[in-house]
Amino acid sequence: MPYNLLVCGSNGLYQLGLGNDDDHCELQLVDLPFVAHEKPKAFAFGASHTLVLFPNGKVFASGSNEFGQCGIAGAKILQTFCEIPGTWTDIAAGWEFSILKSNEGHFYSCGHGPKGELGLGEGVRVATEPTKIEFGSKLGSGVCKIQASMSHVVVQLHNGSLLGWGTCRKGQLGNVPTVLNSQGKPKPPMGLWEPTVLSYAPVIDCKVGRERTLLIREEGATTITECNDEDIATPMNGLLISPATSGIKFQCGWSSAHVLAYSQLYGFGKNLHGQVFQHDQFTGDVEDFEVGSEHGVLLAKDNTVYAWGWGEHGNCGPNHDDFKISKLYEGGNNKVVAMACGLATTWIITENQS
Amino acid sequence: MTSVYDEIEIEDFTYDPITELFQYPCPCGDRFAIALDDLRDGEDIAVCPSCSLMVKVIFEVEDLDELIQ
Repeated sequence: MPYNLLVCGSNGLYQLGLGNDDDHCELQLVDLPFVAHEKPKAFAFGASHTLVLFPNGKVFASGSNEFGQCGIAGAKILQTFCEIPGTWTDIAAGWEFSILKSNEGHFYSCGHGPKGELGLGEGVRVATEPTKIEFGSKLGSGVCKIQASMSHVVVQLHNGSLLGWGTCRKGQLGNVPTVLNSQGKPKPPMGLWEPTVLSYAPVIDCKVGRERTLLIREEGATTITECNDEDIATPMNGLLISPATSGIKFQCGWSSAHVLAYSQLYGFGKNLHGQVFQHDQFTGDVEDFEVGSEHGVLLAKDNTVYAWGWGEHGNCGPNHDDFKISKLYEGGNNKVVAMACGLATTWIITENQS
Repeated sequence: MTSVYDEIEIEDFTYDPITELFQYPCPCGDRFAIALDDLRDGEDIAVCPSCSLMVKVIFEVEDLDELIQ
């Protein structure tokens, strides 16, 4: 089945892979090899770089490659999508770094991590090409998935325990040993420089957003969440009455967290730019949703994509008002099969039904 | 009153000794920035060169010397 990849939003360093550096408020067709035949399996978004993983293990990158965050040594900017050598099964990206999981099950990081984001050990701030991360015996039960937010990385193992590295000052990596400041007083360290077993009880899922980690567990038949931002977890727990395994989906933005439960979408967090979805803006059934740094998109049952939140770079479509939901895409014969949101960028994958 | 996107502690900014700028990620992909000299003068609003967002910097002037070492 032929697929199309459509994109709009912030594009100052070619992160949309269109061959130009203009922001776009109208959806643009991305000319990416493979997309015609294979549906992308995952996206990962940095400040100004984008990774796309395909089911066959190929990864393509576009955008800023100032520190090698696109996984390809050489050019400082990739204006269109270029293939990262190797065969990969998972990807993640933070501000100026990327993490890749190889077909052999090894993790590699590349780019810039001034506060430990690369996980390559104390003081390693730059890796201009994918460099293997050493875990010792910490991967125990095997890796379920890897996620990165702006400046921290979380690896979830099959038994629900978590490893992490990167910035930790806000509690996003749980309780970590303190260090002494210049006056001899204890303070949290700036970051963890290598993969560290986190102090959390096992989870069934977790999500990361800017300086926050949302942990999801089941207690009996109820889902409970824990977060280093109490404004998120407390109201969310008041909503959840079913087990997460019944198909509840969570996503974290930078200032918000969202949950899709019972075909309804609910948002929590700071709403200065409309980034917290307001339930009364769209009362129909919600098929799926994704959130970026400060905006989100939802897919309605009728194959229409709506966008809400901070849309200054065109990432919510033309003429968008931050505090009103906008219709971004009407699918028609092109069925929306996946969506993704980055830092003020929006990506829609369609499958041609005709 | 200026409308700010967020309030960010100075410890979460990254300091570049060459440009003498403190920077923090903006959700558009660029960075909020404020000059060391502006902080010394008591300014506390860091702006993003690529969009309209700005953040308030939480800091004490007397702590700046330690932060830039």
